[in-house]
Amino acid sequence: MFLLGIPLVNGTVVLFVPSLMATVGGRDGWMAPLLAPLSIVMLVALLGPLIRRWPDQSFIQVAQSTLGRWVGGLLGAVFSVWAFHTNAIILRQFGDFIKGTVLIRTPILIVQLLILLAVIWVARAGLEVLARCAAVLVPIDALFLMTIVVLGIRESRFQNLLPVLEHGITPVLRAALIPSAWVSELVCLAFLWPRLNQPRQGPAVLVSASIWTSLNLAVGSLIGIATFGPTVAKVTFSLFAVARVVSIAEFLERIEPLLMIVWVSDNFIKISVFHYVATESLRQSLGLRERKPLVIPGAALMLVLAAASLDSTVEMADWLMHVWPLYSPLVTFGIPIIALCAGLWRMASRGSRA
Amino acid sequence: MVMNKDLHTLSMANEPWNGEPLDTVLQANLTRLREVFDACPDLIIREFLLPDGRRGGVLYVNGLIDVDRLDRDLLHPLVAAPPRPPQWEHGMPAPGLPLPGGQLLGRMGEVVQKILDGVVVLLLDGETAAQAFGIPGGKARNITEPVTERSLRGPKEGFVEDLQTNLSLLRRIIKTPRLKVEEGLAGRLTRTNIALVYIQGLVRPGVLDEVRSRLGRIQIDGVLDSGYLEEFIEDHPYSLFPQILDTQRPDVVAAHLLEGRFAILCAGSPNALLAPIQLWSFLQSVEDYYERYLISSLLRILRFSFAAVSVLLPALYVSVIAFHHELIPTALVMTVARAREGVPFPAVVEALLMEVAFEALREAGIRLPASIGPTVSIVGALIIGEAAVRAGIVSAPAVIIVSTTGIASFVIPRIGAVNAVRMLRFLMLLFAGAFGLYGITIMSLFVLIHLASMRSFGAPYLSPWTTLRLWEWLDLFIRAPRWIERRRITVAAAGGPLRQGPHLKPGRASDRDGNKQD
Amino acid sequence: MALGRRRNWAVALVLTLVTLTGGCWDRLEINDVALIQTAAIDWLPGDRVRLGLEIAVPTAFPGGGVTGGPGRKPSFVVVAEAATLGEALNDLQQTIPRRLFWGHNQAVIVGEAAARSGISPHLSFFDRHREPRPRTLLCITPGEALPLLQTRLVLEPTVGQKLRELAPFSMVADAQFYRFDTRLNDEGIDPVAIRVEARKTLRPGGDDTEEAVEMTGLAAFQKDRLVGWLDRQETDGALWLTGQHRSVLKMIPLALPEAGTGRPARASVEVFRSQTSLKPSMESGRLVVTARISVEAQLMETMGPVDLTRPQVVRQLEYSLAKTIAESAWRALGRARAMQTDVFGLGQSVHRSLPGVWQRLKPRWREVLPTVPVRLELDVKIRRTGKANKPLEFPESEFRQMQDGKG
Repeated sequence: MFLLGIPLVNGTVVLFVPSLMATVGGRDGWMAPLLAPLSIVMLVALLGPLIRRWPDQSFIQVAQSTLGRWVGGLLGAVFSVWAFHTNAIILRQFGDFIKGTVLIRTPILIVQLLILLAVIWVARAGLEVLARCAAVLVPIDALFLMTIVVLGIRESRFQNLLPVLEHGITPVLRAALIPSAWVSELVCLAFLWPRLNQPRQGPAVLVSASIWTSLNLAVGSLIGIATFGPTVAKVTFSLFAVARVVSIAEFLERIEPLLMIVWVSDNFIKISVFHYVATESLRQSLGLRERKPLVIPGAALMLVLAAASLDSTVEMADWLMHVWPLYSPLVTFGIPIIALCAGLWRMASRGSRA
Repeated sequence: MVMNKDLHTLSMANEPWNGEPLDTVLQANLTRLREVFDACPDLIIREFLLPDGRRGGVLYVNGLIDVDRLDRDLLHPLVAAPPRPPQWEHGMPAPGLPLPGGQLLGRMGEVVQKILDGVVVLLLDGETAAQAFGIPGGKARNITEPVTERSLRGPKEGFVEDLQTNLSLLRRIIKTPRLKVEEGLAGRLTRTNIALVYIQGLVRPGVLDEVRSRLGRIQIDGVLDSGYLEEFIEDHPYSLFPQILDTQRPDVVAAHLLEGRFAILCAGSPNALLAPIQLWSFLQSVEDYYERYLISSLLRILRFSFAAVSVLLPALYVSVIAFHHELIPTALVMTVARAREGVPFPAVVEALLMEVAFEALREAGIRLPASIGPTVSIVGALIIGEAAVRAGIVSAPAVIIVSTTGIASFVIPRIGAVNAVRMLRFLMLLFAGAFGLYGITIMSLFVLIHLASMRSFGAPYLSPWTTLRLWEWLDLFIRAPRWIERRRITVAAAGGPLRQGPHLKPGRASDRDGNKQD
Repeated sequence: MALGRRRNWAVALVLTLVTLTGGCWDRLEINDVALIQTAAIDWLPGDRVRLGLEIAVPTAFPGGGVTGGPGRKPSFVVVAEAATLGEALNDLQQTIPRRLFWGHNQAVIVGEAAARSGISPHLSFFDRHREPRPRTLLCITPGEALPLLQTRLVLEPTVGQKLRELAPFSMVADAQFYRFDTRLNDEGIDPVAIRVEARKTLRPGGDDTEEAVEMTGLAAFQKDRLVGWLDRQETDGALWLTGQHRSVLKMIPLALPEAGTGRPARASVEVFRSQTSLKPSMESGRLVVTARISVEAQLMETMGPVDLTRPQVVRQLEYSLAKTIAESAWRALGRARAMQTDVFGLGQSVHRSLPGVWQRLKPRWREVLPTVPVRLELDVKIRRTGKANKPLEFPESEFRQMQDGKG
């Protein structure tokens, strides 16, 4: 479960976000992710009681049982739409990256279709299989990332990080909004709580996963800034650029495929989790019995959304920087909180009646 | 269930004589048996006269029994014995014979069955039952080291075709009554004896029920090798990956039994089946456990890496040559480009051609007599390969890649895994040919999903990696020193958590006893 | 249900097969690629760009094999003129049957005119395009770049490879594209590039000369504009000041005369480690930058009766080495000051250590730069003396005589 959470955020973040953060936070951008887990801690603190009260129900089910089928279902549907939409964005980013760096002339649709095939397969095989895949992939990915970082250290100059906090803490805080929006995607894991072996460990898992990803992100952007200095804000995929720079003895160089593998596998898990969450929340809010029939139409919907939502990488970056940090937390925090409040209110009223 | 009618009629249970009781008249019985065994000249019927004047007959299949012992221990005592007639109506087998007691047979079907099983059947005039004596004989292969699983260190015994010998080999290793053997039959016409072997208390009970029911479902004319059974009882019939380990080594079977797996032995086959099995077992060699742990661990890492090489190398070659030219170091790119200049095929086609040729060569080499085999490989590999490179039909790097791949696949110790690797290699190659590295990654994901969803008799196929029991990693990519691996591998096994005592690490006696005063 | 399942599989299979067979969009065999080795960019009057490419001919490359052979040139040069690099590239692509590929481009040589007018517009292509590697060398040549591609080579097959192989002996780390960009984007530091020239050299094994590309120093920039050159000695100084000397040989003149001949004695050392830190400080209201250079070296050769068994002799050698280093460092500093360029990153060091001071100085840094005093602190150690302790070529007696004379 912990292992599911890591690629969930890592997937997109390590590649894309450092340069966004550097744009806002300058050379102190690497500190921003260290603050991001705070949002998760907050969320967990809020959700804690919810989990304890209904350990075997997702917050949508809780919302349905407390607010009634329709309102709860509506909330669930909003959450589901958010998950689908986010997933489409992820898919789009993924496609853009692959198309921009590896497969220039292959239609983006094919690129996305291939990974969707894997996603559909695993979605039909179930959550357990997905978790097992994550258990295999995460150590490999960690190893590859570590290789890149360690090799990258040779090329980096940590003086580039100086001066620290030149413009005070404010840019850092503003930059922290970006990764916390991503980290808040971990709320998907909260949705999976009821499926945990020991649901009570959920909060701990969530927090540790968020800390781990934040550290990851911090290290990733640290190395990016140390290598490229302020240029990092101008590089679209900074860790990818670091990987391209690495050269040991003129032979151990050109290691960027490692990063591509990490990126593909992380994204596979990420898209799969989101797909699971999206379809499962849809199932719950519609009150369907089976999830499987939703899998393939959901994937098709995502493919369409991914193609239709944004025109270019420029729009994407703009959207990710300005809209996303508000939109995403609104849903990821808002809905569980509404569910929670409703639950508590119902509990309180029932308590007073009794 | 609608059964195939033809099959059903061929089954012995449906023969008209199956349920017939034996006649008291010897000649009637013999006549009936001659009818049943019509055109079976290997059925021998020897008639004789008892001292009390009754007639008797022994029946057996030529070559399955020890005729000398038959004469000495059965016929001679019967014919020359003092006139105390053999009586066995009351369940007591023939007294006074220097033979282990026989079994009483009342029906024709049983008699036929016993004769075919290689047992001597004794019929006497006036008796309503026959008696069966096991006097096994005939030719059997010696116990030798299995050719396909040689090891430098460790036992040199290998299974043979005889089930009883094989079971005895196992019993010789594991001397506990908890080593249980459940016998059964498979194959309606071959009526092959199979044995399910396990250690009671170590194997999970659910697993046993499952395997019993799977074995029980098998309805087939003949079982000629344990491979027949494997296909009927494996979990994922469409998978490329072997889900049951086969071995000809008793020590391997014993090792897996001790880890809580079960074995299926099959008469007529030196290959024992082992399950539930995990993917990694196919990359672990028995010698890992006999050699010292350091070299074993290194060899294991070597094997894992070469297994990966064997799957991925041609695909990587193609994707680098045809997609990602920037990934080749500059010094190398010129060399490769020069070598490929003038080769008419795209890299994928070239690699596919070479791989197919290699597989053909390998297939040709396996079955040829030892005297021709080397010639074929020399002609194939050296002459044709060299000529093809010289003619510019294929490039030298492709030859290097394909032969490296071939060598790499020989590093894998188990043929089942080798075959999976061979097939995977082609799939990878196809995807690499279409999408380069991305294709390889996606294909690897597909394989991973497939592997992750696989189970072998309830145990996850990728365990212990995916089950996160980290201490079991000590015997995964490496083999940790034996004194560290105290905990029992739980992939398959029940039983207590520990499998050995504490403080087994060699050291000075004083340390070992916890006595710290020097 | 079983049927439906099977149909799903069939659909998946067909889809996969279709994508596999139809999908070779990006397949490009290595032999359908023209490997660019070096690019030369010149700025022509009329705001036009001339792009020259050195393209490798792999079959003519040296090495064992069945094709190719001596006599063929392992590379050829193509040239196009256009308004932008992209357009020039497009024109070139029309004439070459293989796709131009930048992934193995070793160096970009920019002509002086293009560099002086501001190099950024020409670099944009390399920053954006996916193929060029970040470690590509940026070289500037006085005059035009194109002729350099046509120089003759002896050891290396292409100009690009020669430049790459030469690189370890020069200040290359900061002349790689990504470093150049980093310097360009940071405050208080100016980028540098490698200065390359075609020089007549003696051809090995004969007495005729040939033209070959050589690295002859550094090109100093103010932001993206070339403002001047550093010659070899100044480059040497620059390397000391940036702590990038790796395994170089240094000759040190010694004070003692060579026995018998009256010529000054000399020694050479091999520097195997050098490190520099720039420390700005405010001293009585004035900004001072202290450059601390620590060097470790070992003795390579001694010309003259140098007795290395005596520590004070070694100390003397160290002192001489320090003097040599300081001399070239001063020259480099002086040159950079004259050009008002901060290639050593003095401003950057201020920015990092004294952010407050930097905020004040930043707007007029170019004017301040030449007046900022730099203090050199040298810490030179000769660690080892090689395989001999005393010069073997002098008889012991002569030695003693010398030492007595000196003592």
